[in-house]
Amino acid sequence: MLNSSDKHRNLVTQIIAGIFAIFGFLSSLKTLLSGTEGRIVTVQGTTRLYSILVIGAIAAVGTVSCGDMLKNGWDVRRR
Amino acid sequence: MLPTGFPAFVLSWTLVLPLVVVPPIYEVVVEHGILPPKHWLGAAAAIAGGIIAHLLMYGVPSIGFTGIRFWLMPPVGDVGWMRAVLTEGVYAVAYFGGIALTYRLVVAMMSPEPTSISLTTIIVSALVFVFGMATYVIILYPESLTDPAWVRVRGIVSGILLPMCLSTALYL
Repeated sequence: MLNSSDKHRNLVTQIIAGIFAIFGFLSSLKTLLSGTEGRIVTVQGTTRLYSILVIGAIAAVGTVSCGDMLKNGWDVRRR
Repeated sequence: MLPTGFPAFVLSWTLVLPLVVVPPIYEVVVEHGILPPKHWLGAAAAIAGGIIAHLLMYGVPSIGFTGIRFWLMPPVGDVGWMRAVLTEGVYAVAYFGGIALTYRLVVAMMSPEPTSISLTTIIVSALVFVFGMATYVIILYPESLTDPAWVRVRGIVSGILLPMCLSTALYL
């Protein structure tokens, strides 16, 4: 059983980790979208990036729907 | 219940197949080149890598292998957010290594002209996935790991974020 001091410490750790995770997510996303190797500076590069994101979104719909269809048999999307 | 053995094999197809089949169709529809030469060789390697990654993560009961996922984060009992975030990191290594890196390596090796493997893109895409999932797990903890409704949302968030990040890791 945790005492109030431990709970407080855990909550502070969780808040710090949460802030770190949000910062990490936003900064890595920014790096990815702005071109990790300086290739996405042209119009062609930007179009390519958008195309890849659209492809990812379509694939995500396929993945989630397949996973959902299979879910009745197995807990397919992992948990 | 986690998918193990054959269900894990099928699960790998639900993830990798849309990622390798949608881009050629997209190319035909929009008439805009995205894919590298030797895409289908890379796709075959990515499918094989995906199957291996899924079997490693979920296990093969017939040979007594329980899988990394079961060992790291058993489906029963309380799990702390640190272990859940670590599990997402292991997922990232397995999926981005098994699928994206394998695809890039095969395409680079088979391509007639020098092609970059773009390791940075793979790593940054994997980081977006890990930090995205970590944000969800930590902010909604403990519901993100204990409440069935929020656990299901976690699966959907992961099911959307993973293909999008894998897509950039494969083709950007």
